Amino acid sequence: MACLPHPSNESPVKATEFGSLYEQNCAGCHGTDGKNGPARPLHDPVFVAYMPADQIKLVIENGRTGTPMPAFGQAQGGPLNDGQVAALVQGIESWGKPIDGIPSYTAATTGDPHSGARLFAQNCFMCHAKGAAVGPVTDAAYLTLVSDQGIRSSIVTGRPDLGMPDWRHLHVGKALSEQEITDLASYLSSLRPAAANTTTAEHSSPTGNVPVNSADNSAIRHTGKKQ
Amino acid sequence: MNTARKIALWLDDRLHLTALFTATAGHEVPANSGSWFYVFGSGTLLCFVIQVITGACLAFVYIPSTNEAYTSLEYLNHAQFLGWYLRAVHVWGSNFMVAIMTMHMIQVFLFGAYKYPRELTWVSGVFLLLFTLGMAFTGQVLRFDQDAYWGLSIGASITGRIPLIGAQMVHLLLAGPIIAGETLSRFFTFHVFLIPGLIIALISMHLRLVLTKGINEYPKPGDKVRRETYDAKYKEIIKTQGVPFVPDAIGKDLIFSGLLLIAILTCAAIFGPKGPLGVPDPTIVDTSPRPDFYFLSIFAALALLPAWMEVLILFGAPLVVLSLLLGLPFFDNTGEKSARTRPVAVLIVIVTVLVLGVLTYMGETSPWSPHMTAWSENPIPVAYLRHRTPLQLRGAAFLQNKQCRNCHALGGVGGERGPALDDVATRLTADEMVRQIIQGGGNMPAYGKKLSPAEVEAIVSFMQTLRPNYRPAALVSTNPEIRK
Ligand code: HEC
Ligand code: HEC
Ligand code: HEC
Repeated sequence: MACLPHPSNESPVKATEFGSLYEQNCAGCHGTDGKNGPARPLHDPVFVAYMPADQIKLVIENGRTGTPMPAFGQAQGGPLNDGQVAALVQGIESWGKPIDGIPSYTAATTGDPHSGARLFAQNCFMCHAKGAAVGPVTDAAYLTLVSDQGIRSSIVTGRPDLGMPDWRHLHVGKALSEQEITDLASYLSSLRPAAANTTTAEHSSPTGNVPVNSADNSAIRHTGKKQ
Repeated sequence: MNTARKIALWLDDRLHLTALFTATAGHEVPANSGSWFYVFGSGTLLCFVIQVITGACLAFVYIPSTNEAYTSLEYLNHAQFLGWYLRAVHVWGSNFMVAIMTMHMIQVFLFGAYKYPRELTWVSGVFLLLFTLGMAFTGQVLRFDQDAYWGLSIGASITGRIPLIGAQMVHLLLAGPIIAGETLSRFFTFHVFLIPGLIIALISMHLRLVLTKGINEYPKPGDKVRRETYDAKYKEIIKTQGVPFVPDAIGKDLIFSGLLLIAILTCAAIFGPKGPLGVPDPTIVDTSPRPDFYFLSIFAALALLPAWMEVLILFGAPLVVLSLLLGLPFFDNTGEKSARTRPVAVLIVIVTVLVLGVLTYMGETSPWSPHMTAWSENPIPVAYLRHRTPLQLRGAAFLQNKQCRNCHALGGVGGERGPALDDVATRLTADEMVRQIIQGGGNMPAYGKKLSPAEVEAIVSFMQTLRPNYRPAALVSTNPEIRK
């Protein structure tokens, strides 16, 4: 009785408008006002132009397995109902407007890691070499905890809040082409240790520890309840 | 008729049934002990019988493995016909058992029934109380949901703080440094075989003592117990006012037991079973972890204590309480029995009940429970994120994602159950941080294998940056006060 699931559409989160929904659910990672958090900024015109609204909706609902991005949709055991997710998508959309010639959100071709490696040495090393100002993105633990899509997004949009330029300024002197972005992303993905494979689902152990289901792991059940 | 009678007589001759009856149920008790105050002992026994019966039924379905315990309870709750009711009766039986047992103890205390010559009856009763609490605790763990997991991990970290032998004690409790498959098998064995066996043995002893030393007569003020004269006096009481327990004195016990049974069955039907409340996973902090009510007062006391008193209390309090309880019939062996002439005894009961009551209330409404929405709500101060490596930033995001923030503040916001982490790197080295996360400690749950190595690495690499500029990072040798 105490353990009945929430009747659908009734959310333990009371808020319905974007401002407070964002504050309560996203600010911890994506930063107050959508910038300066540990996770990528969302209040970024380039990012908003780049990521299609339906994809934003999917990510909010399902989270991203293996990364810290949790699932918020009730179908995934999260707290937010459809209306609240829609309000979030709409609010994020209002933070930007279309930009001409922006690279597509998903890669259209397969990347060439070798060309990616060369591009990386040319354009990224100055900030991302070991010991350089920002620090490596080629490190095994980091790559284990980031998704391929997340890597692509970082190359396209940069991190304006922390000083990484976007794709227009990353190729010394000119913009990165669609293919170059894909190559760079595939290069970084190719460095990811095979065993890790972006999932945290594997670490249930033979000793019989409770298995951590990755969907479950990223899904957060909010408590409206108090027993 | 004659044959039947013959068979009956033959059976009686071989089994000594009549003799057994006169020696037990039919034994003579003081007529005035057939009082409403004397019904709690048999009530407790009834609860125990209910627990044994429902427990045996539950054991048919329950699977003591971390992977299946939860599912088997869900199965009982939802798929098995009346399975939920069985669980409900078992949990309510245990609540009532602890409650009625406490009343029994208070009554015995107030009526001076522990005095000469019934010292051992009291002592065996004290052990019965301990074992019953042991059953309550192990049973709560078998539920193996989030609450149970947290209760146990907090219990284990408290145990871990006992000086010198802490680590070994934790190992004994959990069958390893963290909660894993072996832990549950261990608790299952405790709950189903070991402790019940001991309880049954103790109950036999307890009842045997009630028979040999007799039931306490209803005390009258001024009627002092003297070692030299009491035995003769009790014999006299039995001779003049003795009635057989069955059928004369048992009436009120039966009525009370009947009411008790109805109360348990009704509570079970109305309030249902407890939990299971979500798969046990310390990375989902959506339960505010609280132990079942019998342990709330201990939980509250421990949470309220200043850190320096903790070791003292952890070590000292159980010893003191136990020695007081066990010693009571020996240092207060004779004299007045009636509560009317023992104001101190009455005062002790009132104060104890009040203290436990207040602590339980505080445990129930504790402000020190985690701040449930901090992880997604409270931002990390921007200064902590500038000039960090991408891995450190991921670590910061995982610190949020794994809900560490629900207990740990940064920049003054977040839960306050654990220490603020703003300068944690001045206190702990990376290794110590890893250990704190994997093994828990203090009131922090052990994350064990719940975090992948990469996640731990990321979180620790971020926490390593958490120190004000002018303060040096912790060195292994310079922080003696951490992690005893
Ligand atoms: C616990 C931290 C955390 C919280 C809370 C969180 N996010 Fe995220 N989010 C992340 C991380 C980390 C990523 C990058 C994932 C990856 O590597 O692909 C991310 C990615 C995203 C993306 C996709 C970006 C891309 O490049 O494709 C969107 C959109 C997003 N988050 C929206 C939200 C919204 C809206 C909320 C609030 C409802 C929210 N997030 C709450 C950590 C978080
Ligand atoms: C001017 C310096 C600079 C250059 C050049 C640069 N970056 Fe970055 N990059 C940053 C900063 C600053 C961050 C923010 C993360 C941080 O501060 O640790 C970042 C973050 C990232 C991240 C992680 C984002 C996240 O949130 O997980 C990736 C991936 C990345 N950069 C890839 C690249 C690639 C690929 C290139 C070359 C095409 C590149 N960067 C070039 C400065 C730079
Ligand atoms: C239920 C609340 C709770 C949660 C959730 C929690 N902790 Fe703790 N944590 C505590 C408590 C309480 C202490 C103090 C332990 C002690 O007294 O030794 C503590 C101590 C620590 C310490 C040592 C601090 C010091 O200064 O000695 C670190 C580091 C730490 N926690 C990290 C984490 C991380 C990382 C997470 C998430 C993966 C986390 N905690 C989750 C309650 C919690």
